[in-house]
Amino acid sequence: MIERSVVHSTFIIERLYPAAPSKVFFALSNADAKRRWFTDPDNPMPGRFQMDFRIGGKEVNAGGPKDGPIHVYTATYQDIVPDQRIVYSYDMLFGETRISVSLATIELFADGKGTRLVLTEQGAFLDGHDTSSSREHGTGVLLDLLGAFLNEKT
Amino acid sequence: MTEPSVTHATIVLERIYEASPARVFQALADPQARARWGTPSKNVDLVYDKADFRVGGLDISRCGPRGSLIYRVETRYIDIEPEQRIVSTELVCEGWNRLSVSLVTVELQPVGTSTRLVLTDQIAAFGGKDMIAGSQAGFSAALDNLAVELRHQPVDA
Repeated sequence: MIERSVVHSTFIIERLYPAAPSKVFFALSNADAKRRWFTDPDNPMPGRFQMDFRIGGKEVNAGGPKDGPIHVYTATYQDIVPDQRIVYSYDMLFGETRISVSLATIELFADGKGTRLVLTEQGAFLDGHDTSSSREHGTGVLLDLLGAFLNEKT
Repeated sequence: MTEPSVTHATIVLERIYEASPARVFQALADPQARARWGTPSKNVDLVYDKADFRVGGLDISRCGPRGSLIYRVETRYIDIEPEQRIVSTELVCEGWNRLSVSLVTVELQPVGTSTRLVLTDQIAAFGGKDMIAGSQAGFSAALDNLAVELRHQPVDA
């Protein structure tokens, strides 16, 4: 049998955006908007993208390099409070291998005319395929892409 | 009114059971077994309205004091490695109120003829720190009950 291991960790990332919480929430919850900023900077060609933003609904984001394994992100929305909070679980597959399962909480707080976004990710990293620090870095990049999108619109 | 902010915690519980990993895994996988050992005490009932133990499967259960099963739990199975690991999410609701979501990892490791079980509950609680203490107490009591279940239930031939 394969030797199994799990590393559990939690990281918290904060960003300040120059847009009201309702606009940030829109970018996070509207499929057309999200498709525009939620991309993998290393593989910008979009693969499969589907999003059903409701409690119990799923989001799938698949892609990858031309000659490599498909990376699939599959999320389930667990809790939604409009303009305030989104809680979702997600796993990552590299080809056939599940590399991690995570629980993410996004909280939006009004900050003057802008929004402070706090993302808390509690992750289970499976069998040494990926690390928390690598995931934290990648997640920070995604939040920067969200910021660039919101800056365009403001 | 602004929703109170979310409280996060990681709870780790460990037990050694005098049973093989296969036997322990069976008790984790079988909803009939879980209905027996999954409650924190004899005065609390656990009923499965839906049970589907497989990757991508969903269990829906209700628990609470006998006659008042006020808590509804949605368990989604994300990763299952037979006899080794189960990773699931648990959403706990009371009526319309969602109280918490947990990412639950159960790892089984052979130790001689026994099994070490490590349960890690990464919880996001909406209702405040009480939910975290409650989750810890609930899981801890259930894991104690699992030892009783493993001692008393006959092993399938």
